[in-house]
Amino acid sequence: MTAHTDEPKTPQSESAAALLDRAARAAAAGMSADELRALLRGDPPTDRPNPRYRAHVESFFLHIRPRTYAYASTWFTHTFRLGFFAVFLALVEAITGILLMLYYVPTPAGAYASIWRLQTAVPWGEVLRDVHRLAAELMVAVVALHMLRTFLTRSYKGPRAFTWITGVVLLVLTLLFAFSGYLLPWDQLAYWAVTIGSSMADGVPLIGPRLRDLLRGAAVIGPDGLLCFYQLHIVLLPLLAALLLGVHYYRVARIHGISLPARVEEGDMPEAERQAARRKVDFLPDLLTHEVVLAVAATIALIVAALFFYDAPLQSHADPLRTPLEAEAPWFFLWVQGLLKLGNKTLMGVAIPSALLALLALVPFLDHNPSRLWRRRPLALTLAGVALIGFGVLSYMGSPSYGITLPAATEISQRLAPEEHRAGLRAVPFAQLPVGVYVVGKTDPATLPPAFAPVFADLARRVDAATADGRLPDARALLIIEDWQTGLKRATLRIGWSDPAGAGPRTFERTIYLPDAAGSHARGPARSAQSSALSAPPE
Amino acid sequence: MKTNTTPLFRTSVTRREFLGYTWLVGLAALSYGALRAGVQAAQARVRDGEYGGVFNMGPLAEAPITGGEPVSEPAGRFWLHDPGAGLVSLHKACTHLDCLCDWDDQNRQFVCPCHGSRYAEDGAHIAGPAARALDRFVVQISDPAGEIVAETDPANGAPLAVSGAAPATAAASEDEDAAESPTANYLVLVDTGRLIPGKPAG
Repeated sequence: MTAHTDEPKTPQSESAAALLDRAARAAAAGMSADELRALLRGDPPTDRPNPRYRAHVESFFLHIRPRTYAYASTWFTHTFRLGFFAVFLALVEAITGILLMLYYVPTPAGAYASIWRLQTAVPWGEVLRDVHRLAAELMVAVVALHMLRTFLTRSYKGPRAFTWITGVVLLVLTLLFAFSGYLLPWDQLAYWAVTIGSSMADGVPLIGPRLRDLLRGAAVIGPDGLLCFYQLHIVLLPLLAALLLGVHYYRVARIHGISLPARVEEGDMPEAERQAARRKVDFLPDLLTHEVVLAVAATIALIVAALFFYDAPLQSHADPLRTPLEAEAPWFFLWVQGLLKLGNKTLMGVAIPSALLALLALVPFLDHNPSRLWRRRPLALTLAGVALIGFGVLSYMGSPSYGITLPAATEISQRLAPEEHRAGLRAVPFAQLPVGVYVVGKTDPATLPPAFAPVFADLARRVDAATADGRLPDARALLIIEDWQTGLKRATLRIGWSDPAGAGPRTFERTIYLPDAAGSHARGPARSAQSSALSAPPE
Repeated sequence: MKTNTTPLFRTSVTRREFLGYTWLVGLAALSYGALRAGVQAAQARVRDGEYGGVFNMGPLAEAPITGGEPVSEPAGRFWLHDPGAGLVSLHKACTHLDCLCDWDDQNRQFVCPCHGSRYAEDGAHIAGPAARALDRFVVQISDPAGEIVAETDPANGAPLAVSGAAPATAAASEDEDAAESPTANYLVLVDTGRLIPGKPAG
């Protein structure tokens, strides 16, 4: 704003302007209406001392943000705004979580049904749950990447060491959030992942069994266990996380700021450029605007992803009497599952992860390298690379196919008619599953509908392979598809073979139910005959 | 005359400072008590091996035989099986991380679906990350009147031999009539309240 219009004003307009100004000052931490306009127009401050800085003193929300940032610390490729996105996702979790709590019932009898109701009978319920789940998984990724970025730029020097440690604690809290939220839908995935997790707690020296019983609430997870995880998820962890985030962010904002890129601090850079990189940038208005734009873009991206690309998984109702085949940890815990295949829980489930965490927390004190430049940190970067590859390998070992050999007939059924996963017959559209009896070796896959044919051909190939390598001598396989009720078909797979020990014919049979995905319960959970799922979805 | 430089640590303690320490000790004791009470309140009332009570597995005549398939009791989370030397009741929970094992009838092994531990017919650890054999529950034989005539030795969990003399002898020592009654009418019970930990592997 370059010039004020100094035309004489009528008493009415003067009082109206004064009223507007008072309202602006009350709402915007002392900034006048003119100042707010100047902010929106990108003009310099209207007064001295700078009323924007005064707002940083008077307003709580602005007080916890720095007044100025060093220009280079705001470069997108320096931080990728990962810390910002972590906080953004935490807020998304809080908001969607509060809405989900309106419907969720934390009892074994009510939990699964309440999720089902949320997904089918509540406006936007399914999107809400999808966003909550998607943002949770993204948050784990973003927090981990945030830590990786801080490591790669060596932004944990000096006073930032303690900030790094609070960051490690926040990483643990994020993982605990994800883990405690895992049990709440009370499906098979949830129940057995948490059974394994609480059994790992048993491996803690001295207090292990008590800790396990505390988490489970009984010898096996039941009503008390579910309630325990629910209260962890909605009360204890949010309180701790808010506290820790406060400490973490306060240090960044008040004590040391965001680190400068290493090349600005110590690289070869012309002095003028360095001066420009170090110059102060006001938070108001440009950085705030930038953050609002990022938040809006991220919100839209989340909602679009939840609407069209992502469905929060929901397996069959938890069955405490039966562990599903191919139980799989969430991707961010696959490395633990891989470790656990190597040994007992005290060593692999407790000692090694704790040691890794301790090592991570101590990184600032172990790294004595004075330089932050990549080319002068070959050892640190190599170790980081090795660690990442190690996590990749362990995660691969954690996948269900590694180290677990199923009996041949069970393995074939699991590929064709999996207990839980949306694969094989479960991935075939409802309309392409004609009622009939299909016999391997007699039915020609070419006569079958296009989506069904490859699945059946795959069955034939696996049966032939098992016969050829002697696992299932004289194997015969039969698939029966029946109309079971409106919008529901039943598939029965029967595999017969002669016992290698000569004990006569043997058979294996599995039955699964296939709901009509185009019906009103479009994204219904997978169901298997062995599970005590809810009765089939009503018409 | 002493100089008035302050030493790094003062050795004398003033009354006020001493009272301050006493106060801190009291505060610590109070916090510890409150914390313990909190933990006790949160702690579930679970006893080791406590499960679902005693399961009636039917008449002895119909009990599993050597070479047969194990009989699953889902609600009790155990199998009743005869791996060769008599009846054992194997707890289904894998001794690694508590997933429930499946019976692999093609290899005659118990297999954990989570991390791939494998156990022999008698529950002995064969392969995988588990550190001990499958746990066992106490198997009991009761006569038709409900008298327990034989049960697994809780000290070693050895298979309970049922063919021939074992139950009859045990009964004879207590009741003359029982020796004459056919053992086929005896009932097999499994007491899931008494868990016998599996032997450590290797």
